[in-house]
Amino acid sequence: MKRRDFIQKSAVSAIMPSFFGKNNDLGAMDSPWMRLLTNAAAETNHVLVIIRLNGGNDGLNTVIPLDQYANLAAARSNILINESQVAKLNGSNTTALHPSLSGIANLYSEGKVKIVQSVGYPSQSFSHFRSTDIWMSASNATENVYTGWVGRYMMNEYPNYPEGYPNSVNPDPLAIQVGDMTLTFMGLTGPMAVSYPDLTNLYNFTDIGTPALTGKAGKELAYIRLVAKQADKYGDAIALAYSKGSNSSVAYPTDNNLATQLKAIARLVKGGLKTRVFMVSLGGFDTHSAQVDQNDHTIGMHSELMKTLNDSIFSFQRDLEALKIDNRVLGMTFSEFGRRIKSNGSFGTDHGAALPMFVFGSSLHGGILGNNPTIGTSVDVNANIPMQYDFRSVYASILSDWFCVNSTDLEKVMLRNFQKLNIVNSPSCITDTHEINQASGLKLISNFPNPFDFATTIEFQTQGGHTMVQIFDVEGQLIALPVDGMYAAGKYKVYFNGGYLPAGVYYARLQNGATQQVRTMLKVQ
Amino acid sequence: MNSATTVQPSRRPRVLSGISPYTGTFGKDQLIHLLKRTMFGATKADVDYFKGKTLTEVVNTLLTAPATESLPPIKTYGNKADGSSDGVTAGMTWTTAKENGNFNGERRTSLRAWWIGNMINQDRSVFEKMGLFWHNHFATENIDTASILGYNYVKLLRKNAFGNFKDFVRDITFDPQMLRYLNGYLNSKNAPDENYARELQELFTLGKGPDSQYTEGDVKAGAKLLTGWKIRQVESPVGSGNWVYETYFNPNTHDTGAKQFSPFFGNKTITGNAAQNTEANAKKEFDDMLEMIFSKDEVSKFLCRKLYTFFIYYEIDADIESNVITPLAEIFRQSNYDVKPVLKALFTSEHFFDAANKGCMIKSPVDYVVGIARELSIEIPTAANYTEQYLAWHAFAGERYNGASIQGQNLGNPPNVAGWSAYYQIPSFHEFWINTDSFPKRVNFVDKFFTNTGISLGNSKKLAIDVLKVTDLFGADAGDPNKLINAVLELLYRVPVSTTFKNYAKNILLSGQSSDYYWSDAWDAYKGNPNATNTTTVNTRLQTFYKFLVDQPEFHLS
Repeated sequence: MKRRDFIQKSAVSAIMPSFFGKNNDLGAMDSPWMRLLTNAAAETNHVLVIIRLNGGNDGLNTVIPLDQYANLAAARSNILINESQVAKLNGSNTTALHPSLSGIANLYSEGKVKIVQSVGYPSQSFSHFRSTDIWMSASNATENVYTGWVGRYMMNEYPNYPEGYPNSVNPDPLAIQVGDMTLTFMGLTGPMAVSYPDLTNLYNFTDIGTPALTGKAGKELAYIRLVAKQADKYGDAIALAYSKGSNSSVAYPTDNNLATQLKAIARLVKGGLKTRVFMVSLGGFDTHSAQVDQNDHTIGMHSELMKTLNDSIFSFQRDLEALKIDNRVLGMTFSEFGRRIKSNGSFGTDHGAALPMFVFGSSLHGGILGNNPTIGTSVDVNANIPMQYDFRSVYASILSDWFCVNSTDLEKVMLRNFQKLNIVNSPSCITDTHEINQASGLKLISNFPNPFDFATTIEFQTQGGHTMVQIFDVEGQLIALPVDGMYAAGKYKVYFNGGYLPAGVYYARLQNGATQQVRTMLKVQ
Repeated sequence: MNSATTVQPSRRPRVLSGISPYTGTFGKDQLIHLLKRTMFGATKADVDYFKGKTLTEVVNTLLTAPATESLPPIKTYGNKADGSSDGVTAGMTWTTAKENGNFNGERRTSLRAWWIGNMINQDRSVFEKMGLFWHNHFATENIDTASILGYNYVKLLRKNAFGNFKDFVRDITFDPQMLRYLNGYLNSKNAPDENYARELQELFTLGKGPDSQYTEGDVKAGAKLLTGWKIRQVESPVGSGNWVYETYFNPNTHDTGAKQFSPFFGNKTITGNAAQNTEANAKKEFDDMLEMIFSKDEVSKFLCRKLYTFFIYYEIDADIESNVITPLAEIFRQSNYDVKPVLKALFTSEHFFDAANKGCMIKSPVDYVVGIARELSIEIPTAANYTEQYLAWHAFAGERYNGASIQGQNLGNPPNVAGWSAYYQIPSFHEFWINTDSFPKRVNFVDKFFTNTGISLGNSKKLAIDVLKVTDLFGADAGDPNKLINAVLELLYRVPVSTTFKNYAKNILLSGQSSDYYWSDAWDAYKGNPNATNTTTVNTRLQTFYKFLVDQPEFHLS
């Protein structure tokens, strides 16, 4: 905990008797350990909710650069929103939002929305898949990284997962993916998140699975489903939080699955679920045609999507506020790319490059980061919006200022250094859970020093039998095999000389029977 | 419709089909059903191989034993920590070495790996599955006994897999492993041991059904009859270094007196030949008893019920007893207990292809892990890398990576002489395979193959599912997400799934995009230019796709 937070919280802490031996300084009184011991105080964990907009969102019709209107009108007259119909942003004459984003404009006026302009990456890929992978892995466009950025954060913060998880310190999923598992959460040896199709009904297998199967096969399938449900080590924890939690009287839109899932997330967080990252998605942004209605550009496919997004975020934020957990939750939208400046003949737009991101919540510096994109007088059909901010700067800023990741760890997670952006405004950045998370679960492998310059000592614990320690680079290439043989149960050390390796992130992976565990190591020059 | 109609609680409809030859459509669906039940999973290549053949042709092939038997298991284990060795050269078989108690553990592990390797490399035949059936039927636990006895026992299961049941009972009775396991070698005139004589009747031939009414006296009489048999390992020829186990007869411990059986056996008396107390005469006594036991129809019914439970489902109601078991048992007796005609009748019957019997079998752990190896084309190192090959087989059979033994089916070591409870224990039967402990282990076992690191075997070899290779099997269908999903589900699942489910799976391939051609483009790009980026793009999605499919409850049904 930072000093200034301690001062804010000490009023509560100070009245507690200090009978916990040498840890009687007030700073220690509010540690998570203490909360655990006293079973007091609500959760203080910070939560990130990622909203993925599948398909590539048309940024220019989402955040509209009013000062570029004449040129914009020339480039995309058949989809342009009439200037008089945009949702105004309080205090800005030059930037406005899509008419369906009035709720977000509202939150903006309260300082609860940050708009980051023209976010992208160098060497834009126009493939949905490739660009999605780049955004999810936070890799350069020139490399193939098969771990996700949140996955790597989790690997670094909870290095022992899944060995010894869940446990009393981390009883809940580290991260939850609503819907199909994605690269965002992949660690080196598997997902660091759990996924459920629907948070309001974790085990609605009949909805997703075989329809009303009867007879012998139906009997056996029902049996296996029951066991699968009982065997889900996180199922009970989620159900408990769901039953303990509640939503406020704030109305959410109906017939809007994004809103339904966000509502469930608010309830789970209120119910004490310690999950740090949630990801939900909204599909249909690949608006090559009929993005707008030919006669009324404020309605049509994109408008529907904007409305769905707007209503969901607005209700969610208001609900969080009413539940008094809004200071703990940060939201973020992303999409694999923006769309082309020039519209096409089908009242739509083709794949583009940079686009704006929304970050929302009560703990941020609201406003607009960056300038409106500049639209030329004569826009080529292939012209795209160049990036002002690397998307990884947004991730890095959130990791640093919301999850309190220190600079060394940040490089391990993000694989290189990125510009920090002024997004998060959190007076309660808790750093004292870091050491606890490091120790949570069963530690089977570690290395020291880390970062290392030429050599590091890897310590590992084997349950006996064949044991292997492999060193991988971030693209999954096997670099070295310092341990490979039969070992009696116990702890061992091996000296790994990595002096010849280029600086960067490496993974030491222990394989011992059904057990595997990974340590993230940073080689510095 | 009359709203006042009372709805009766739903009751499963009667299944009335019998063993009349199946005359309905024999299409891909029926073929895959047949292959999954008779082999360990059905591979794309298996399905393609049999496509267009008639049911009779397919079953005839399935009832053909491999032309040559596998080479025996070899040594891939090292010396003890203290440097002591069993003297066998690495890569050579240990099965003809002198028994060595210090190396039993290593050799049993080797035997188990080899056995599951045979299953993974199976011919298009019921042969390997029948080996497992007989292992469960004539169950012995290797763990208690010497590894070389264990190997001989497995060889015997294989030799008789498609053979004559009566001959098999004779063989197993005098098998050194069985003599050791059920104390037959200690059974002597002065100290009779009833263990084997009891199981011979209770578990191996007559069972415990209502029509099996052998008595305690029959157990005692049988035990008396089976006295005098011993086992030993001998070097043959002496000085050759080639050691074999043999069963031999010790007349001094054989009881030649009269053995009186109960009214159930028509009060039969079998008497030894005191004047000529020879091995041949002792065997004659046994053959008389064998004929006596096999004169009871219950033997054929008991075995047919076990085959039924193993290949179709565990519920045998009155309809199935009279329409399936009774006529099958009749065929069994008419063939003088040859197994093949029974299997042929079963696998070509209308009952086998009755829709009611589809997709209702919970895969045993061995069926599950071997099926994964085959259906998902996991590449196993070849004999040229035998150390890694055995390690790979061990991953499927053994403890190290949550293989079959950890999932509840330790090949070579059933829990007791009755076999695995999933094959006999009322009322749950094969539901015993799945519980809150074993289910996550089953999922964990397969999940490890969907990471880029896979399971490292050393020597640059790894065990992983090459999802690109698997997908390539589907040829042109691979580029169309709908066709690919249907083709994969057709092969991997035996129960239908909803449209929601298919969309969920497709969403993975499409990365949430709404147009199918995005997958097609990505696949075509990979096929046209398999560079790192194009490969990673499809590989990432396919790993998640297949992992999702095999993690679902549906995948555990056969």
